[in-house]
This record gives sequence, C-alpha cells and structure tokens, in this order.
Amino acid sequence: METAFELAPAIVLLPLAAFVVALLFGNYMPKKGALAGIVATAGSLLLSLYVMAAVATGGQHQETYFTWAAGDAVSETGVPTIEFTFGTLLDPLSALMLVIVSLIAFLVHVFSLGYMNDEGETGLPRYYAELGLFTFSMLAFVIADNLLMAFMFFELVGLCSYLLIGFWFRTESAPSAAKKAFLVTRFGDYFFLLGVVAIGATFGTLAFQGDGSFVAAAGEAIDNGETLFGFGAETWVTITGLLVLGGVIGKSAQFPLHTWLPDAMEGPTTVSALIHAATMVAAGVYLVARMFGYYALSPTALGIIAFVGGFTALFAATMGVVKDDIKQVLAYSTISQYGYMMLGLGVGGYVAGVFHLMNHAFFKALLFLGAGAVIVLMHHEQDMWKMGGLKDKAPIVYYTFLAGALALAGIVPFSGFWSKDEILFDAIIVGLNEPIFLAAYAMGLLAVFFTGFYTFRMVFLTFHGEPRSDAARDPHPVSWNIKFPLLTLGVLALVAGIANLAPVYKLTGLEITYLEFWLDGQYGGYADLTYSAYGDTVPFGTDYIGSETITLLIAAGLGLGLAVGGAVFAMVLYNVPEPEPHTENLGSARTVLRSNYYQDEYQVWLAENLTLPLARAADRFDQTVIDGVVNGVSSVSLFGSGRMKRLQTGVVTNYAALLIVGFIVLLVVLGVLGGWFV
Amino acid sequence: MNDWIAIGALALVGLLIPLAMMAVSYLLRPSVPETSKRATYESGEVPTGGTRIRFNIQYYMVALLFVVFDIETVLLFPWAVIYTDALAEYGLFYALGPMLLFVAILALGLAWAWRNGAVQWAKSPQQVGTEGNRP
Amino acid sequence: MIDAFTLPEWAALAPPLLLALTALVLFAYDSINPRSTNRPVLAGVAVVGALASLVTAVWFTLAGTGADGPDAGYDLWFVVGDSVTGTGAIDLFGGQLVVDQMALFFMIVVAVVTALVAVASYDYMAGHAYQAEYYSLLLLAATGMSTMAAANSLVTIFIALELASLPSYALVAILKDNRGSVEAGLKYFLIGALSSAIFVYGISLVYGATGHLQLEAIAEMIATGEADAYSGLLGLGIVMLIGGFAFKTASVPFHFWAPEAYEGAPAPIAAFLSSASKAAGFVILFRVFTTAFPLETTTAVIGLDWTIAFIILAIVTMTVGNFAAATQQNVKRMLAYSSVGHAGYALIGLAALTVDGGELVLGAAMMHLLVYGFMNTGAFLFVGLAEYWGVGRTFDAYNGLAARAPVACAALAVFMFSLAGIPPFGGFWSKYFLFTGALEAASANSALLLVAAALVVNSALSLYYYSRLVKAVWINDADPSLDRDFGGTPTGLYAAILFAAVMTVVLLPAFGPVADLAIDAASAVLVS
Repeated sequence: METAFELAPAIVLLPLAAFVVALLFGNYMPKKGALAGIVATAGSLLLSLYVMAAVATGGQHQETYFTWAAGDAVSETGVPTIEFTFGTLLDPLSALMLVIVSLIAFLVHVFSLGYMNDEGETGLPRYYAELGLFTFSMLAFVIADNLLMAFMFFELVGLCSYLLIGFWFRTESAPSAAKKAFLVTRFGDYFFLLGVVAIGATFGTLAFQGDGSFVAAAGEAIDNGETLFGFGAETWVTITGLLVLGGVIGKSAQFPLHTWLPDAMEGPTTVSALIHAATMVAAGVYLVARMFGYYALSPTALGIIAFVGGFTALFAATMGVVKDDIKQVLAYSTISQYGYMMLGLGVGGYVAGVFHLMNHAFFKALLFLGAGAVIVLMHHEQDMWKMGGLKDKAPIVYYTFLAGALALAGIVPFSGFWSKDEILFDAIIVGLNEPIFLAAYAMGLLAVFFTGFYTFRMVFLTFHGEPRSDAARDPHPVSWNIKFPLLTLGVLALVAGIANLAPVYKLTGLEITYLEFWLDGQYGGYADLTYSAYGDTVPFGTDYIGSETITLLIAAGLGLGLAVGGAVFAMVLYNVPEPEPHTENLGSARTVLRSNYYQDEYQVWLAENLTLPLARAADRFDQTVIDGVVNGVSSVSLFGSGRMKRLQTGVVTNYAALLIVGFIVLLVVLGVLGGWFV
Repeated sequence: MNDWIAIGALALVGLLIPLAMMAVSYLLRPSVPETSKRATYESGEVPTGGTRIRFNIQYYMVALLFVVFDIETVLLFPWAVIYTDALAEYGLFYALGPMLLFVAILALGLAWAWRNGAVQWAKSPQQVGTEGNRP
Repeated sequence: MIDAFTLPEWAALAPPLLLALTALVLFAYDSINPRSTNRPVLAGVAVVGALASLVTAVWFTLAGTGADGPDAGYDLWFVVGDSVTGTGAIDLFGGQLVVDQMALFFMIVVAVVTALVAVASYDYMAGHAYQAEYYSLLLLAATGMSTMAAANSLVTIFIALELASLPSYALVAILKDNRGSVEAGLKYFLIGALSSAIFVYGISLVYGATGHLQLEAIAEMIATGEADAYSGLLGLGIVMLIGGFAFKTASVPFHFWAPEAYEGAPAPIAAFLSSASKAAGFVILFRVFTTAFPLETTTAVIGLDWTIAFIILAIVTMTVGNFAAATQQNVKRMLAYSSVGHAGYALIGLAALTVDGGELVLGAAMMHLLVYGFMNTGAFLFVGLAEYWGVGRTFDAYNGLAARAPVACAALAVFMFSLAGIPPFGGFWSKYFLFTGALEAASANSALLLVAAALVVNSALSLYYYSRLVKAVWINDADPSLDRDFGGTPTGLYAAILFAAVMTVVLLPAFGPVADLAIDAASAVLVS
C-alpha cells in the first residue's frame, strides 16, 4: 500500500516527462510524440488505479515534498508561522479524480492518433507536448495538499488550455478564442488569488487536511465566535470562500463567466474533450469538492453556489436549444451540466456532485470524441444541418454517441440519470426544508427538459434522416484508434451509474451505494474529509413530501418524465427524413438565444466603457506622476553625479587638502558632540 | 623641585657650550674675506656646477641597504643582551631560531639586491644591453 | 574522535606564514636567476602559495581552530593546539596576534583573491619586466593583509598595515613605462603616507590615554575607568584611527587615491587592492572597534557613541561612491567608484552595532566582503581581459564585446547584477542582511533608518550604471569602423573570471553555512 503512495508523484511526473520528450524529440519520433504521451498517460492510469486500490484497502496519505518558503505570518488565529509547500494529499476524492483524469487523458491521446495524426495536421510535437503539460498540470492540481499549490497548478491548467485552444494559431478565430478563455478565467482567478492570500493571512495555513488545515482553523474560529478582520468569523469565511469561488466560476464556466467556453470550441475537438470532461472545467468543481469542508461552514456561500449552479444549468440549456454547430451544442451542455454539479454541491450533496462529475467526465468525453468522429466522417464539417443519415454509415459512432446522449439527457438506466436524479433529490429535500432552495431546484428541473430536447435534436439531426450534403452521403472512414476510445467510454457511460444506485438502495435497502461509502471514507481516507463529516457541518435541514420513498419517487419521476418529454419532443420535430429548422418559429426569442442573451456584448461593453477608461486614467497617472517623479530623481542623481566627479581633480595636493578638511570636519563634529574640547 | 629641572638644566648647558664656543671664536678670529673661503667645502676639491644636481639613484639603494642593516642592529643588540637568560628559559630553538630566521630573511634580501645590481655602482655594458631590451 | 595530529599553537598563523614563505621563495628564485621571465614557474609558485594559504585557512575553519564551544569543528586529520575542543581564540605572542574565526574568515578572503589575481596575472603581465618582483610583492602584500586579519595590538596592526601598503604602492606603479601607472603609484603613496601619519598619531594618542597598545588591555583600561581623565585625547585618537582605516578601506574622505590608483594600476592589481586590501582594512576596523573600544564602556568615557562616526562615514561614502560612479565614461573608474560605494555598505556593519547586539549586521558585512571578493575581483579581471585585448577603456569601446566573448560577458553580467544586489546572485543576500540588520538596529537609533534608506537609494542608482555596462557588452553593437584584432583566448584570465563567476552564483545556495560562519565569527568578537 505504501508503495502505491510512494509512486504517486510518478503519476504526475510521467506526463511532464512526456511533455519534455515530445517537445524535444517529437519531430524525430514516429507518430510525432503521441507514443510518449500514450505511454505516459497509460502509466499514470495504471498507477492511479494502484493508488485507488491502496485507498480502497484502507489507505490514505499526506506528504510534504518540498517547502519552498517559510516564514512568520501575522495570522489572525493561532499559528504565527506559515509555510508554502508542495505536497500530495491522497484520499478517496483525489484518488477517484486521478483515475478519471488519467483515463480521459489516455483515451484522448489515443483518439488524437486518429483525429490529428491521420488527418495530417502539422505542429504535432507541440500538440502532444501541450497535452502532456496539460495532463501534468491537472494531475498535480488534483493531488495538491494545499490551496496555494492548487492555485499554482490551477493557473498552469489555464495556461495550457490557452495554448491548446489556440493550437491552430494561424486562423483568425483560434487565437482570439484562446485569449478570451485566458482573460475570462484570469478574471475569476484574480479573486481566487485574493482568496488564497486572505485565507493564508487569516489562518496561517493553507493545508486542506488535518488539524492544521484552514478548514479546521475556520471551524474553530466560528465555534469560538472570533472576530476576523473586523468581521464575524462566519462572515469572513463566507467572504474568503466566495473569493475562491471566483476562480471556480471562471474555470467551470458558470454564469456570468461562462462566455469563454463556447468560443473555446476553436481548439481541436480532442482538446475540447479533455477540457470539458476532465481537466480545465472540471478543475473548478473539483476545487469546491476539495475544500467542501470550508464551504460547509457557510450557509450563505453554499446557497450562492447552489443558485449559481441552478441558474447556469437552466440558462445554458436554453441557449443549447438553438445552436446548429454540433460542438456548440455540446459546449452549452457542458456549462449546463457543471451547473448541476454546483447545484448538487451547493445543497450539501457532496456525493451527488462528485458522482455527476465522474459520470459527466465519461459521457462528455464520449460525446466530444463522438463529435470528433462525426467531424472526421463529415470531412471537417460541423454544421448539423449538413449532416444526417450517419446512423447506418458509422454504426459504432452512432451507438456510442447515442449512449452518451442518453446519459446526458438523464434517461434511465444510463449513468447520467442516476447522478442527476441524486442532485435533484438532494435539492428538493433541502428545498422542502428551506423553501428558497426550491427556486434553485425548479431551475435545475426545468433544465432537464431542455437538456433532453437539445441532446436529441443533435442526435436526430446528425445521425437520422436523409443525408443533407455530399460529405454525409460519402463519409470518411474512421479507424480503430477512434473507435476504441468511443467503445470504452460508451460502456462507461452506460454502466458508471452502478457506482451509486442510491434510489435502488432507498427503495430496496440493498447496500450498493459504493461511491457514497467510498467518499465517506469507509474503505480508507481521512476522517475530516468524509461525506458524513461534511454532512454534520452543512447547516441545512431536510424534509420530505410524505415519506422519503414518496419524495424519491416524485423527484425521479419528474426528472425522468421531463427528460423523456424533451427527447420525445425532439423526436417528433426532428426525427423525420427532411427536418425543418423549427427553432426559427421562436421569433425574437430565438434571436436572444442565438445571441447568448447578449452576454458577450455586455461584457465587451463593460470592458470598453468601464475598464478601458479606467486603465487609461491609470496609465496617464503612471506616465505623468510616477514617471515624472522617477525621471526627476534620475536627473537629480545624474546632476549630483557630475558634481561628485568634479571632486576628483587629479591634483594630488587637492586630494590631500580635501582629505584633511574632511577629516577635520569629522573630528570637529564628533568632538563637539562628545564634548572633547572643553 | 623636580628631576626634570636637572634634566632641563643639563640640556640647557649642552646647548650653551657649543653656542658659546662658536660665539667666542666669532669674536676672536680675524676677518679676511676670500673667494675660496666662501666656496662649498668639498674635501679640498674645487666644486663644479650648481648645488641642484641629480644624484644617482644608486645613492638611495645603498642608503636603503644601510638603513635595513642599521635597523637589524637595533633588534640584534637587545636580543644579545638577554640571550643568555632566554637560552636558559626557552632553550636554543626558541631563543636562537627566530633571530636566525630574521637574519636569513635579511640575507636573502641582500642577496637579491646584490644579484639585481643594487650595489653595483656602474653597470657593465652587458647589463646595460639587457636593460635596454626591457619593454 | 580520531587521534589528530596536533600542531603547536603558532602554526595557527600558517595562512600568512605560507604567503610569506612563498614570497621569499620567489625572492630566492629571482636571486639565483635574476630577471627571469619564466612565467609558468613564477606564476605557478605564487598560485600554489596562495592556494596553500587558502587550503590551510579553510581547513582551520572547518577544524574549529579559534572557535568557541565543544562542537565547533569537525574531526580532521590535523589540528592546531587543543583547539579541537573549541577553547576559543588562540592568543599568540602575548596577545599581539590572535587567530579566531574572524581572522580565518578574512584570511580566506585574502587568499582567494590573491590566488585569482595570480592566475589572471599570468596572461595580463605577459611581456612585462619584473615578473618575479611582481609576484613576490603581490604575496608580500597578501602576507600583510593576512596578518592584518590576525593583528591584535595597535603596533602589529600598524606593521601589518604597512607591510600591506608598501608593496601595494610598488605594485600600482609596476608598469614603469606607463605614465598613468607611475602617477597613480605616486599619488597612492603620498595619500598613503599622509594617512599613515594620521594613523600613527592616533595610535600615540590612544596609547597616551590608556597606556597600552594591546587591544584587550586598552578595553580593560577603558572599562576600569582609568582613561576617564583623557576622554578628549582618547576620542581624538579614535577618530584618527578611523582615518587610517578609512584610507585602507577607501572610505570618504580618504578615498581620493582609489579611483586614480585603480585606473592606473594593472587591472589584476586593481582587483587585488579593491577586494583583498579593502577586506583587510575592514577586518582590523572590526577588530579594533569591537575588541579595544567596546561600545558601552567607550561611550561612557568619550561621551559619544562611536557608531555615529560610522553612520556618517557610511552614508557619505556610499553616496559619494555611487553618485560619482553613475556618469563615468571609463569602465575601470566606474568600478573604482563603485568599490568606494561598497565600502560604504560594509561600514554599516559597524554603524548598526548596538550595545546588546549587532552580530547579524556585523556578520552581514563580513559576508558582503566575502561575496565582494569574488564579484569585484571578477569584474576588474574582466577589465583586465579587455585591456589584454586592447579594447579600450570607455563604455563605448566595450560595445558588442559579447559577440566576441560570450562566456566572459555572461560572467560580467553575473558580476554586475551581483554587485547591484539582484536576487539570484550572492550579492543580494549580503546586502539584504545588511539592510535588515540596519532596520533592526534602527529601533535603538533612528539614524539608522537614514542609513537603510541611503542603502536602498544607492543600490537603485548603482543598478543604473552596472546595467549600463551589461547593456554595452550585450545589447549595443560594436562600432563597425573599428577593426579590432583580439589576440588569443587568455586561459589564465578566463579561468579566474569563470571561477569568480561560478563562486558568485554558488554562494547563493551555499549562503547558509557561510552566513552561519560569519555570524558566529561576529558574535565571537562582539562577546570578547
């Protein structure tokens, strides 16, 4: 078991090695560095499974590898020192995430062989090097045992996504999308950084786990009723928690910082799969799960998380309805699904949120890779109106894509149903106790209908009906390296729900909620990072309609009914040989939706009419006042320098005279001060 | 009364005696001015040229060597005075050794100066030749 | 512990003795074989002697010679006296000389610089006359500096100081056909003579006031109050001693010789004087003022805290040095003034002493002198390299040198940024410690805030002219009309420059032990 934990750094470092190898030798290698990446991520996957097995047999591990700065801290509570370290924290959550990330990264690498190599892309060593760095950053973020290390790798993840979204940097749109992704997420990360500093300054520690963690310190401060920086302890925890949440909202593309994500579709589809399923976007939600104990201390923060999540779920789902580009539909579905996770976490459903994170990783990777396969089939056409009829031409792609779509729509028994149902169930029982959460629940519930609709609209337009273009009539063949990842993920999308069949448990009493046991530390893990520990802290009560079973059945029935309803509605409209663009009947509503609720426009307006003048003013201040002072100082110095130089006349008698004069001045000054002459 | 008065008186007397002798001789001697009498005394030689002439650098070389050995004597003398007592107390090595080392260093210096021509009044044509080749 | 081979106590003086022996060997060689120009042998002997001195000094430091405390040193093959048990400083010749950690620390600095200079001179002095004299004078001067580190009585201090100074005058003027060199030598000598006169007068006044020349004895007389009647006399004597030391360390207003001497002297000698000689001046300054004039008792007698003198000197010195350096057109002169400025930084070591502390800042000054020994020597040797190639003396002449000598120019960038105190190099830490030390002491004496501010302002200014040189060699293009003919690649100069550069960088990770050693040494002299 110890071996597994000792090998844990290798999980992270292998992709880094792949990055170096691909960067330096990629051009000389067969497959241009892909093999290095595949071997490295396969190694990471195996080691991650090993770590998972070690945690499953009752292990947990926390180790500090390197202290890169330590010093005194003026913290508000307790410890007067602070250390900045790199270390790992291996517990059920991080072990699970390690497996997810390395699995998806591995499959994306394999898929890239078909999507990038076989399509004759250039710049492949750069591509694989960046993929390696991306995987490395995310894995390091996952194992981070403190908030600052998490922040650093969070930033590195952002940088890598910038590089990969802008992979085709010669096009006009890709660099712009990359910059947008970078800037928007950076806007969120700015608050994250403030949050890290605030937490460090408040508690003198940034560790996630143990008695010395900021979570424990914050809990203590609240219990003791301390005042931190002039606020009550709980208010201060809320403030710092929300600052950190800024980074989460940026990375996980929650309202209002979601605007970068649809544009990020400019990157290669494989990159989109990685970003949406396992790395960049998942990082935000993972961070909330990682420091859930901290958020659990603050009902306000949790409420905000829940409402942001619920609203984003609905908001993004409505926009997905009118998109014509297959990747755009998937992009909005990602935003929407991460909204569900936030909703789940926000109502205290830690297991439900993580469960959906896991399922979503599988089916969203599947859908994106499927979309990538469709794009290959269609000779790089992404408009769904030009597709159709691919069902018979590429059955494997179709059935795996369908599995992903069923999971996304949340139709029983596919994985997405189980986790989404659990989230909605957690939301309604909290909502019944505290009615305000019912609004969040309602938004989440309504989004289910839209999800079902846009998902199947996409499926029917793409695969059913008559082919609507030459490319669709004569698709490009796909090879094993595309099919293998699709099949793997297709199976997972179908069966991953088994991990936590909570409704079945509640109806039959069969103890098969493995994920809940897993996250509750019943196999291994730290007592302070378990579901039940969080459950004790979360301040929400629950209520039922009648009994738990009845509530469960109502919630599940509502969710499933709406999902099926949406799907059926899509089938009626689009499962015809020659579908019509029905969304055009929506009139002005369609314009609003097509324009994404003018989110981009108002953000650009803010940037141009608020930020830019402010920056100009600051620049003017800098140019005139600051530079004036600096230039003034330097001219005075240079003038003084000229004077000083003149002291040195070159005549030795002058030196002797100056020397004596200087010496006597010193002597007289000291003599008078010391009273030697009286 | 103080010992210093006696010393001061002695100094005064020491100063007065030569002054008195010079004064007496000034009063007694006859005054016969003559050009050769006003000339600088050069051991009977007739002086040539002015007083502001350049001295050969060799004068300083020799003078330096003299000073070095003069100082050496200043150290050797007290050492010799206490030598027997030091021998009894510290043994031969610590009594004699340092002085031998000191003299050896000075001897090395003398040897170096000698070899480099410090005590050679005139340079041989061969030496002048090598000097000339120096940059 | 292992049975170590125990040497008699006087063997603790091995570092200066080895230097003296080497000088004598060179004299003997020159006596047997006058006017030899066998440079490999002569330079080789000088380097071997300097390295032998360095090795013994490092060895003694590691073995705990002169250190205090039972586990001060490591078990090494041979030790001096019973020092391995950590019995504290070794007093020799009735306290005339003392070997303690601070003495060994500065013996290391002197030996390192001497070795670097000797290596570099192999190429620089090629074709010059007086080879043997050059190296033996160099080693005699080094002997004097090494002895200064151990001198513990005003008379030994004076003798050691003169032993260091007299060969230096000759060394500055050794390019006998170069008017600049001879003129610089004469000016150096005249200012030196004047300063020595002031210094000796100071010694006589201190002797008159206390009746002793040995430093501990002076301190005792001051402590017992027997010097109370002569407070003015003692004060004047102390200020005159400061004058003598200020000459050696090139502090304002005794700095006038420095720009001229450094500019006229051969570049390795300029490196030697500005690094080793300055360090030696500082070690006796530190020793005299910590041992003979302890702050508390001396203040009681002379009615004045002598740190005021150093506060004034430090501020004036660093300001004059840096401001004068800022607009120089001649690289060597710029380095000379920057060397004056660095003397000002090192003076903070004494300026920030307080009654109950200061080992941190004193240790920081010692560290600064060690780091300075590398970076400044390296910088002057780079100038030597440029002179060797006949590049010219001004900043403009240095334009585009990096195209010809990228490695040496990279080393130059290291020296310049380290001198300016930019973080990744050794110079940063020592300056940082000086700064924090000054701030710490500011709680006792708010004038030190002014010193700290002057340190910051001057460091910022120094960055300007240091980076100017880096810009010249790396960014500016050479004047294409100049058809410069560089000779070969001088191995000795390159080796010395690269070694200095490597040490400047390596000292950063190695700063922990060095800082511990310096602070230990500082607290040892402060307690005694």
